[in-house]
Amino acid sequence: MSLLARLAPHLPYVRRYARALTGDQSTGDHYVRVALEALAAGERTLADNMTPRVALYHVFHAIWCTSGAQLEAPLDDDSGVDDATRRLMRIAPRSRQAFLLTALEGFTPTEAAQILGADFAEVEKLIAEAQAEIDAELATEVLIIEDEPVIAADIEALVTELGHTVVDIAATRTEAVDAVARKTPGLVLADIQLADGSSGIDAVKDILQRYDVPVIFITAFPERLLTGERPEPTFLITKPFQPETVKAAIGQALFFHPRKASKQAA
Amino acid sequence: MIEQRPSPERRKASAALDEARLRQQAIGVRLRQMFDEVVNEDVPEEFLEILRRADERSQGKS
Repeated sequence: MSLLARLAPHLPYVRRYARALTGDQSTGDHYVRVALEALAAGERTLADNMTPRVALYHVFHAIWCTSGAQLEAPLDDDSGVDDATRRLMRIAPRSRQAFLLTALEGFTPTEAAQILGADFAEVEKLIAEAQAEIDAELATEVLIIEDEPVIAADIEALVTELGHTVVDIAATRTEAVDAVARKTPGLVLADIQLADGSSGIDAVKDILQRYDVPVIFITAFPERLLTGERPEPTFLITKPFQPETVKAAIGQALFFHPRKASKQAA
Repeated sequence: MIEQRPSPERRKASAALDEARLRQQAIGVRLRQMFDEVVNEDVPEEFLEILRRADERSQGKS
């Protein structure tokens, strides 16, 4: 089977990976081109014991880590790169690769190990390191709007476990607005039905009028958010919640939230 | 007696890893949306040309 027939279906994905890994499409394409040329010249070959897709990423990896990974310079603050890309680039190259190969490209840890020329245990370690770096990068101050003390304590424990700081727990709309006036949080976790009959949705609308902050609603009444006008940008989690679901939503909300916008609005 | 069950430390580490992977997948889903256009646009013709030329050369040899 020709190289073209074997590799063409995988080129869009290796370009995506290269873009995510290098933070820039033209840089990414450069390394894809060098990898393809090395294959065409016979300097590199597709490993027989790998699927064509894994083998292609493996060759790309060999090219990039001997050149690109070592040339990498920190991004300037004014380089016009979006914040998600900036956060990606702060992850150390090898753990960034393990993270992107599994979470973005959908490779199994075993396939990622083949691509990286690593063993399974190293890939596990790299994934854990990537998570530690992401957690450190995203650590922020959190406002919890929740009127049930037991649930508030659960949420607080979970948020603290992720490395964040809970700045306040508000039980009513007024308390929430006051709390934000004292200290602008980097994330709001909000219940909808509050102690004095006030609404978490209204509290969040008040907050979003003044500050650009990601919000996650945790509620037993999701239909209120789905039917009413839903303030953006928000996430919705239904009670009773799985702690992992809340943690995943927090990471997602923070990773993609533009930092500059919140500074300007503050 | 051979201990078949993983040690508590090992189980804890493996649970932490599962959780990390779940959280990374939540970010991965959004990254895929972000890079949708890269996947959907045409691959640069130059890339296909490199492979085509290599195929022609190897056919010429055989």
